[in-house]
Amino acid sequence: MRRTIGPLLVALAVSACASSVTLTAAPVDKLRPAGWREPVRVALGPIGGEPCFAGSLKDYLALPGGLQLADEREAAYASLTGRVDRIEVHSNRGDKEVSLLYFSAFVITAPIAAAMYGAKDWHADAAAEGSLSAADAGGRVIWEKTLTVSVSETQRTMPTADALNTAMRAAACQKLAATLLNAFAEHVNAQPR
Amino acid sequence: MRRLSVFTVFILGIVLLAGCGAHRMTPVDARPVGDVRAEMEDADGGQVGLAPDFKPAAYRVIVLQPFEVSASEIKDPEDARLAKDMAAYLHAQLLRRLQAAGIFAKVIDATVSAVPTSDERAVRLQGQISRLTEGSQALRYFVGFGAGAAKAQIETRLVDAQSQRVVMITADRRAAGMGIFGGDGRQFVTESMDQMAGGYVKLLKHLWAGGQPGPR
Repeated sequence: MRRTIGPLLVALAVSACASSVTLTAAPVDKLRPAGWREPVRVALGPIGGEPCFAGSLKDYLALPGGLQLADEREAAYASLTGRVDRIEVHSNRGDKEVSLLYFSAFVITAPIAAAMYGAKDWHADAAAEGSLSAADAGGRVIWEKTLTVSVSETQRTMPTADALNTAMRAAACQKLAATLLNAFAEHVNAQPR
Repeated sequence: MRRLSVFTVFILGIVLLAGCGAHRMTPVDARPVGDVRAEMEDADGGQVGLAPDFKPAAYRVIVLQPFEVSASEIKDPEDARLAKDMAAYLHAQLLRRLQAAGIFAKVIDATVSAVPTSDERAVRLQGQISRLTEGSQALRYFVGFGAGAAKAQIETRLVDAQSQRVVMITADRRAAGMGIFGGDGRQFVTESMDQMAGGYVKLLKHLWAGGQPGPR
């Protein structure tokens, strides 16, 4: 009996990891400055780095109000190019998993594993570093910005490492794209028209 | 005997879990700004210095500027990455907490907007991460007693946006030297930033409600 309980607990601890995670941190909202003159349409040029950055820029521009994506027939106010240079996710989720496995390995310490599963939070932070620049119709750079953003999350769930990594990377990408485009929207709004 | 073992393991587990984390330390070499010195000990914000005629309630707008990391803390590309990450992390924590605290009518993120505010009086929150290290997990695990501790210190300035005069400075510091298998340095540093951002916003809330720095 004892021989089977240990492996069973280990298997339970590992299989209990959820394959998806819902972050509690809200995404960065699209900025729609007061007195905004509609529409201001921008074109997307080459966007380097991880594809999630280009995807997040397109998602932002597709939202109503503020900056909009120009279609091929329209003249764009500016053409945006940029790249994400780095996205890093750090978390102590693995520490919780290792501790659970460690304590689950012995029947005598199994209650500690059970208590840890229900009581110990994991914490994760993701940083994304990237840049965006805007050029006018003549190709002259009219605005550029380089930025590092950070998102963080604390939860008591037990997601898989992949699920956590995917969710945090997506959140960091969204924050970088939205913050850079919000900054550009502020710049456009501040220009005399 | 077996009951004792279970009990011992329980206690060990609790100690392992509860003993981890960052704790406050006295800031080192906190720099004064003009006549303002961070000499008052505050329960939430660390060491605080106020300009004699500072009237917090007069300010309804705060502009949060990105923090810089002291050049002395950046020795290699890994340090440079950590500096960028932690400056962004602290900025995000301060922004979130300032927006949630309801102290100010407007909280402006200077990374997005540098637009000066209209008629309302504003303060600019500027600062520096003057000490930042993840320490050494191996030293924490094998040596302990503070060796290899992760450390972080922030120094802040509140500047009157109109006169550019510094009206308040603070210095706060955290260190963490104990965790399961030595603990993860990055987690210690982010926890330190969380604590210091939380403490700073609590201090502002206290001052804006008419309080003075000190024990609560």
